[in-house]
Amino acid sequence: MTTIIFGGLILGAIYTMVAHGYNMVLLATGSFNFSQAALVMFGTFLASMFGTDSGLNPVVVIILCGLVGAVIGVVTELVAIRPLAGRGSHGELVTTIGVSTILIGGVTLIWGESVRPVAPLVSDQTIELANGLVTIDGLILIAIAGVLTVLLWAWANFSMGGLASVAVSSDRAAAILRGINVNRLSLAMFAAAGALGGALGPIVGTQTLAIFTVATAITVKSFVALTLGGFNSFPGAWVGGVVVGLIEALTTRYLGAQYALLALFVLFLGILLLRPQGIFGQRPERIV
Amino acid sequence: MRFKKGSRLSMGSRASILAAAMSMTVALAGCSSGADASSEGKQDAGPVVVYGPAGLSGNLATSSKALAAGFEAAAATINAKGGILGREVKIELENDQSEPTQAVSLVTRRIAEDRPTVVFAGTSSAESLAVLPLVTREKLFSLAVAASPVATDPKTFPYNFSTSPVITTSSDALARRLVERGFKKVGIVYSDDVSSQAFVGEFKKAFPAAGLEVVAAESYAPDTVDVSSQLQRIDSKAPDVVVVSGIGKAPYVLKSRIKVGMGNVPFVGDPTQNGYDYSKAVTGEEAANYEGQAFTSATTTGGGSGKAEILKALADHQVKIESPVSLYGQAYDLLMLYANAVEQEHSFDVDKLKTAIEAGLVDKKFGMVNTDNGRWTAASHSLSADDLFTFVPIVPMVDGQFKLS
Repeated sequence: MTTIIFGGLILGAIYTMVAHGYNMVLLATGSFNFSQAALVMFGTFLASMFGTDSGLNPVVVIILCGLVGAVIGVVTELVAIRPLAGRGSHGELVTTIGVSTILIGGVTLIWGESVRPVAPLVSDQTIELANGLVTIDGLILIAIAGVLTVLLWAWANFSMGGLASVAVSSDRAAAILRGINVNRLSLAMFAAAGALGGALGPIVGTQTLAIFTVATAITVKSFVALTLGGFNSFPGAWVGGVVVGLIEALTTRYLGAQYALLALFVLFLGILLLRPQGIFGQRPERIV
Repeated sequence: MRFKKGSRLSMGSRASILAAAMSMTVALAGCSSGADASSEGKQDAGPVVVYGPAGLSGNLATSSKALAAGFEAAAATINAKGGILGREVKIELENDQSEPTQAVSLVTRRIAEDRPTVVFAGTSSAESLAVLPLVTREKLFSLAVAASPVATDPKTFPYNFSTSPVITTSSDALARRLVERGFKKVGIVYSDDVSSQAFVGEFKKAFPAAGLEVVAAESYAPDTVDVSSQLQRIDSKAPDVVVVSGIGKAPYVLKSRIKVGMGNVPFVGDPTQNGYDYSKAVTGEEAANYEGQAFTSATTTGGGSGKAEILKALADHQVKIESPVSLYGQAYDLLMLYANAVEQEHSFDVDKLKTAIEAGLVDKKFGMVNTDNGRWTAASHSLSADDLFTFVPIVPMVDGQFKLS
C-alpha cells in the first residue's frame, strides 16, 4: 500500500509542477498555455543530451534546460499569444496546442521516437521507507513539488510581480490603468514558466525518461489537477496534483487500470458540477 | 522503421478497413484499365519494375526508408547475379505519406500510364488494404509487409504475399520459450493499444495450449510512464514470469518492476519489444532477469543465408543502418521470394507463381535475410517459420543487430 502511495505522490508531483506552469501564465496573461507539458517533455530530451550523452553535472543540466525553456517561452508568447492578446476569443488554446505539436514534432525529428535515458538526479536506488519502496529521486521529486508550491504561493502573494499578476488576472483593464505593463509582464511570465518547464525536464525525466508521448499524458492530467485545485491557486494545483496522482495509482492497483481514467473524469465532472471554481479557486463576483 | 510500427499498423484497425472500403469505391468508380491487361505488354520485356507507394515522409518515414533500402539491396543483389530470368530489376517507390487514399491514387495512375511488373502494397496495413483491391483486379503480383489477416487472405487477395509473420508464429514461439524455461504461471502486462491487444489475445490461447496458466493480465495506457500499480496487482497472483507487451515500453515496465520489488521475477518481452535498443535506457539492475523476443536476423548470431548479402549491399549503398536488419530484410525477402518463384517457374504468370509459393519453393536461387525456411500457404499469405524468433537480453544494437557473444 505504501509503495503505491509513493507512486501516486510521484505522479502527483509531476502533475503539480506542470500545473504550476499553467498557473503562472494564467495569472499574468489570462491565457491557458497548453504547451507547458510539451516543454517539460522537451526538457527531458535536453536532459538526456546534456546529462547522459555529454555527462554534465545535473545542476548545470538543469540551468541549461531552464535557459532553453525560457527562450521557448518567450518565442511562444511573441508568436502564439501576443497577436491574440485582448481579443477574448481564447485563440491561444489553439495556438499553444500548435506550439506543443511543433515541440513534439521537433523532438521526434531530432531524437526519434525511441525512449532515451535521463541520468539520475541524485540516485535511482530504491529504498525502504514506512514499509514501502520508493526511489531516492522519487522522494526528491515529491519534495521539489512541495517547495515549489510554497515558493510560488509566496511569490504570488508577497512580491510585486506576483501581485501585479494577480491584478492582471482579476481585471486586465484596471491593471493597465494602474500602470502595469501587461505586455512586459506576459513576456516575463512566459519566460519564467518556460524556464520552469525546461528546468523540470531533468527532474521529471528521472521518472519518465525521455519520450515524446509524455507530453500528451501529462497535459490532460495536469489540467484535471488544476481544475480540481482551482485556477490561479498554487496550493490548489498541488492538492489537485496529489489527489489526481493518488486516485490514478490507487484505482489502478485496486480496481484495475481500465478504471483509472474513468475515476479521474468522474472526479473532474463532480468538481465542475459542485464547485466549478475548484477547491482553492475563487468564485468571480459580478458587479452590477 | 522498427518492428513496432509494422506490427502496430498491421493489426487491421478500423481505419484500415475504412481505407480499404474507400479504395474499393475509388477502384469501382472506374479508374484504370481492366484485368485483361494482366501479364501482357511491358511485363514480358524490359526490366522487372517493382513499383509501390510508401510513406517516405510522415509518421512511417523511418520504416519506409528502411524498407526502400531493403528493396534496393535486393535489386542490387539480384542484378549482380544476372537479374530475374535475365531481366534487370528496378525499384520505383513513390511517397504517399502513408495516406491510403494517396496510395490508391498513385497506383491507379501508374498502372494506367506505365504498368509495373510487381506492386509493393505500401508500408502500413492501411495502405495495403487500400491498394490491394485494385492490384488484385489488375491481376498484378503484389508484395506487402502488412500482417493484417485480411491483406494476407488468399481468398481475397490471391496474388499478395507478406513477409510479416503470422501472429501465432510469435505467440507459439513465446509459449515454447516460457515452457522451456520451466515457468508455469504467467502474468501479462500490456499496453492498451491495438497491437498489444492482438498479441495478448493470442497469448491467452497459446499459453494454456502449451500448459501455462495466465494468472493475471493487466493493461496500461499507451502513454503511461509508470506501471507500478499494475505490477503490484500481478505480483499478488505470484506469477513465475511476467510477459511484457507494448511498443517500446519495456524500460518503463522494468523501472516500475524495481520500484515495486519484483526484481527477482523474470520478465520476458513479446514481439512488440523487437528491435529496440534498451541498453542505454535501463540500468543493470533493471535489465537483469529480462529477455525480449526478437527476429533471429536482428542478432549478430542469426539470420538466413541472405543476411551477409544484404549487409554488403547496404554497405555498398552507404546506407546507415538505423533499424533492425530484420526490417530491411522484410523488403529484401519479399523481392527474393518473387525472384525465386519466377526463376523456379520460368514464368511471370501470377497464377503459376502463387501456386508455386503456396506449394513451397524448391529452387531458391536467392537467399533470404530473416529465414530460409519461410512458408506461405493456401490458407495464409503471411510468413510462417519456426526459426524466425529468438530471445535476447538487453544488449546494445550495432548495425541493426543485437550484439550477442
